[in-house]
Amino acid sequence: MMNNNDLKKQIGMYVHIPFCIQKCRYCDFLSAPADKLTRQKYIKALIEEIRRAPVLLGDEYVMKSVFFGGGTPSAIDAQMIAEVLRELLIHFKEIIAKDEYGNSCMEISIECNPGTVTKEKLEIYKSAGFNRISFGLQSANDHELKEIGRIHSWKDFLDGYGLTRSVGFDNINVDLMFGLPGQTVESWKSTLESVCALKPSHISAYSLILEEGTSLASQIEKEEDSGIYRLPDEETEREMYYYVCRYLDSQGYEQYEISNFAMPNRKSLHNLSYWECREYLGFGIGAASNFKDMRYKNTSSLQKYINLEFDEKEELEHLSENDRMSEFVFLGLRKTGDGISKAEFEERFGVKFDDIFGDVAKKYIDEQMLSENNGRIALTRRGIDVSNVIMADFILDKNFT
Amino acid sequence: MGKINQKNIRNFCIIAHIDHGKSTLADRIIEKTGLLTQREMQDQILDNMDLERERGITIKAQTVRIVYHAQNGEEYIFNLIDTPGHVDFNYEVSRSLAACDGAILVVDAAQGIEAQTLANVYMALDHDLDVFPVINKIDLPSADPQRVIDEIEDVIGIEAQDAPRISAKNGINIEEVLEQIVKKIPAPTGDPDAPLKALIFDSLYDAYKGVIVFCRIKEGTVRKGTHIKMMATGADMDVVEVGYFGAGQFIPCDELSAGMVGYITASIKNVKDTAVGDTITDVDNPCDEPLPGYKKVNPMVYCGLYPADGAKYGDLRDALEKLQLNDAALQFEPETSIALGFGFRCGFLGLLHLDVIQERLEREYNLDLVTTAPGVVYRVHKTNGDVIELTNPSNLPSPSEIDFMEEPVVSAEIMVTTEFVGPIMKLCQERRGVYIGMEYMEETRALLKYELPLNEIIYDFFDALKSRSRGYASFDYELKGYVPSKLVKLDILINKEEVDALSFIVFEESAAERGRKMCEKLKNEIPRQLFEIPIQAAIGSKVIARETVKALRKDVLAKCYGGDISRKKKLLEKQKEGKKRMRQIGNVEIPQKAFMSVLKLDDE
Repeated sequence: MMNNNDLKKQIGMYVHIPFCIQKCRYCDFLSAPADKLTRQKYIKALIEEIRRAPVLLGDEYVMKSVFFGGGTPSAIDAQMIAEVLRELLIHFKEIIAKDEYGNSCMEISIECNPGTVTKEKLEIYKSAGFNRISFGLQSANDHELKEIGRIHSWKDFLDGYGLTRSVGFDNINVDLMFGLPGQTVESWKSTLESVCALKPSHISAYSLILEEGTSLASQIEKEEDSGIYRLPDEETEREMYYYVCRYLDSQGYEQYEISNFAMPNRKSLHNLSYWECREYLGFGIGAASNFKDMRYKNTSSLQKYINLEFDEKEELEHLSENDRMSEFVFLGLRKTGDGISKAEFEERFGVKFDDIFGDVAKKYIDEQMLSENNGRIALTRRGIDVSNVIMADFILDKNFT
Repeated sequence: MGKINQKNIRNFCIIAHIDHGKSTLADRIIEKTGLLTQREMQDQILDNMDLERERGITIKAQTVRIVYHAQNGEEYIFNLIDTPGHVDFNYEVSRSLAACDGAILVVDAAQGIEAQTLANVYMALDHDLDVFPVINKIDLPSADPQRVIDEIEDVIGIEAQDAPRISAKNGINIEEVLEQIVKKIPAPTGDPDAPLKALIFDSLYDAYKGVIVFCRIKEGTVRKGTHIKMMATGADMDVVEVGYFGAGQFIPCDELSAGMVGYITASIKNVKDTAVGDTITDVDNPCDEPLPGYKKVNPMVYCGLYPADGAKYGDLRDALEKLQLNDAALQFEPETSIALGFGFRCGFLGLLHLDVIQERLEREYNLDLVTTAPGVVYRVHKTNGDVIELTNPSNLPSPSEIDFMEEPVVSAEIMVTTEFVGPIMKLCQERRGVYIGMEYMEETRALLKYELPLNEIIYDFFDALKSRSRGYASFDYELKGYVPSKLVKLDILINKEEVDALSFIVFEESAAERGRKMCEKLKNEIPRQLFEIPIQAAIGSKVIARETVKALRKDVLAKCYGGDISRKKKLLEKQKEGKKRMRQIGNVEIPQKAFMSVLKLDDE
């Protein structure tokens, strides 16, 4: 039964593993170290949540991607991870995307901390079905790593990366950060060169966001109160960004999102589904879902989650037509190469893009913040720098008709 | 109560420098005479409006009638007329005084005589009131009643040795004040059978009764059905009700006759028909001439008031109309600004009046307002001989049509301890003050007299005065007249576009400095945008100051994945909301508060 056709709606699955060895100093995700018993109970609950989910889906979906994120999924027993993936593949077997030969063609990713991978773990992942490894490296400079509270060194990463290759993974992402305290354009260049020498298939390069309440943010604030400024200034930070865009382009990576770069055919399918406003289901505490015009999150209480209180949803929001049109634009514009397609907008919403956004789009095209080519609208280089200002102008009132 | 004997009426007011305890004494008098039980007393009864209580100032005159059983065994009717306590309302004060026969002068036992004390006493004496002093706050550690008594005798020249030494706050010696009211304030005079002659000293709009006119009957008698006429405005009507003032209520009675203070209602729809200071007479038996001293009150300060949300224009108009029912001094007319849309040019007695109205609009009518820089009324003499009273800088004719311009000046009196005379004189000089003279009140205090242009004192003069004298200087002024002056219109250009709502008239020599400060201020108020924004100050086509708001460098979210989308969308929504509250000038977004920034040029 070959029903993996384009008429079906794509859906992605996200699995949250809220455990790590040690909290990074910039991290504001739902994650913390935990004991073995808690981890076991959590995995049990996770499997239960997955078992209950398929009834939600009719046969109009095709599952294109699975993403294990965290926390640090690689921080816990690899067998547990394999077990969870196995449950997922069993229970959603009917909708797994297949290629023309009938083989599974899903992207199945797992986030790993370079300091936590071993050959055994990687082999278990491989045989469980994972086909993409995402390393949180952040920097190739050990001083910088220490500064932001990472538990691994550059050497640890090199070892982990080598193992990953040797086990047979060929789709590997490396997460990097710029705008770090004490970082210079030179050290950033050197990180990029070191990483590119390994030729990972995908690189994410994020500008550091100081999230309120993180230990890094409060340290920086305290320092600045006493007149010490170690963060690169705005100008330098932008220079780092422009550099990574230029450099990765020269190394054969295509920039397809504000912070994401991929070798040909190696874009992250799972992450693209967010920017293309496709549906996804989140499993695990605090995991977000976008499903049947609703956005919601699972409970963020570990206790409740372990007690199988899956119906306890947070931040539940019904998306009006206007919400979905706004999201289509502001998420779609994150795709720096492709941007958004006017035709696709019309197909989705049954109304012409220009009837809704013509004026504001024109304004920014005139100001060269947006570009329009063959019915697609995308951010320009300058537009990326100030994209929030532009995107905010595409937010419609919730109930405007 | 039987027929009231004119001999047993006392009409008086209390005058004092701000904070010397006028309202507190009024409360104690009311309490002592038993009009209200202590439980019913709410502090400062006469200050009706929340705003009055909060700010500790009296905005509208209030009046109350109380009955006092004196030690001589007789019963007296006291009409206590509370006067507004701020220089903005000087004319109202003078009309309230005209309704009285005497005044109690309250002086703080620690602070002694202040600028307003003097101004108020002189005004009371001008109205031929008998003034007797009361020394308040004798229980303060720093109180020095004898020094203050001597000062009153030396400086004002009124007998003060037997002045009651009281604490209004703690109810000490109030009885003595009441007795002195009987002994030292004369009974009213006037013939109840003469033609009616009554002074309007205030009015109030009531939704059921229409305008309630507060008046003092000088001659004759008024009762229900009397066909009355306002001599200055010409309005005439039949009296529906007369009565007197209980505490917070109106008590009808049969008639008001010479010497009495009370109210009249006559189905009057508009307070403008009942101007404060006007004389009421009987159409059928008119008096020869009106009481002296009436003048039309003209606003001294103008500004534009605009609803922050353009859709609220109608609401703003309704609210202004309602406020005007109770406040004849408030004037407004529609105007349009390119920057701010539809709004009103409003005239006020002074900056406090403006403040009060603005706050009442925001609080009582829930309006969000944008206020343009307040300005005074300039007189523009055109070359063709026409004279324009200019209230809106945008209406200034082109320079070639102007022969010369005049600006209003005030006579100001500043009381200050001698150590601060230097700094205060410097301040007055900076504000283009003309030194008139200085008198020493006693060794340590001096009264400085200056003539100052009104537009130099309407913004922040009072604050500057306080800060340069560590709070010790006090200040009073009255309008003196108009003098020729070198004035120019300063325009502000944002991204090369003139913003009409930011233009103001300024003394030529101060223009460069003001323009520079204005540009600096705006630079800080206007958020960085996608492009560089020049801010210029110009006189005509000549740019005299410039600042630049640099282009926004970076506003981008590095990450936006599944779990972030709701939160990031909220951030963008908030950003969009913030934008909505800004004013669009060309392609520049300007926050509302930038329009008020001209008010705070001398902060630093």
